[in-house]
Amino acid sequence: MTEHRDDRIAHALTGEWDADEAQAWADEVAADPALAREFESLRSVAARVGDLPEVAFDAGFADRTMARLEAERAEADRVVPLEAALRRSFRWVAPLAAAAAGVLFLLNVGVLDRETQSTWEALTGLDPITLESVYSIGEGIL
Amino acid sequence: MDDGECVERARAGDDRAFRTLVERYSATVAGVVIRMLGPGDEADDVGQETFIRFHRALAEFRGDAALGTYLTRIAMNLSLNALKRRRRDEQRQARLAPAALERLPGQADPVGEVVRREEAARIDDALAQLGPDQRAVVVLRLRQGHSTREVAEILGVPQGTVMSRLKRALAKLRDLLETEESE
Repeated sequence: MTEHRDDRIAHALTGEWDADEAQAWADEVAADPALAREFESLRSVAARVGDLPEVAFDAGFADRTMARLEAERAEADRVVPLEAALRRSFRWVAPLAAAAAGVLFLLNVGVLDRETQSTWEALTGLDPITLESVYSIGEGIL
Repeated sequence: MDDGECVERARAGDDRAFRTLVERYSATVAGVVIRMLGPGDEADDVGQETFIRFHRALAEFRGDAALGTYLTRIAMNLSLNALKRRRRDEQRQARLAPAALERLPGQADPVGEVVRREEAARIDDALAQLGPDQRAVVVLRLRQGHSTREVAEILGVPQGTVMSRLKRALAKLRDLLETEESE
């Protein structure tokens, strides 16, 4: 079956033609019995699907949906206060942590040994990195 | 109370208005998720999730699309995701259980009713054997009655793709039904 023929049948199955297209299709089908049989067999299946009985959820669907909605709201009410509490805590903890870090920096800089340490090393509290310290890295292992 | 008024009230926190929308559109959503996933807890869960997602999006919902189409899009996306999870986990087969399908009202013709149920079961079983993409097109176009353009918008594919998927899906359904009916 050619692609064109498949497309025509697919279009015909939707039934969405204008009058000229519908007439052209009718002429096409009338002139081609095999096409007519193919189309009719598919149209028949479509009609059987269309005739299926309606389906529905079990009784109480609206109750179950509304109960679920309520449960989601309760969950949201529980989660939001927790998030708010964490945000409030952070507003206190963050400045305190920053102040503590500042004090440590100042303390380190105050005891800075300018001959062996840079200001950055003093700020971060790192030991000075020297040639001797590099060679001594593996001493404990070896 | 029309949809617009319900949405406005729901947006303002009126749960009764939202419940009205749930009741009004549960059949639409069921038509998508149960046909895509089969009846059962998973479909019920996806149905609820559809409305929960809609509730979360109430503030952004501008009513550009009809509410039914909007909910159908959410329901279809969630159904396709559920099918992906199902396939990934390989815990269940995507088979529809005809026993759980909604029964037609009235039992005046018991023999005819049995025949209709068997016919529905055959078609549902064949539908479940389609791939998710083809099944989605069949459900939206033939069951939900959306136009090709709407189906294309909901699925985010060109209209030509919708038509070719529909044709291939129907050909496969025909083959599946013929095979079963000849056995």
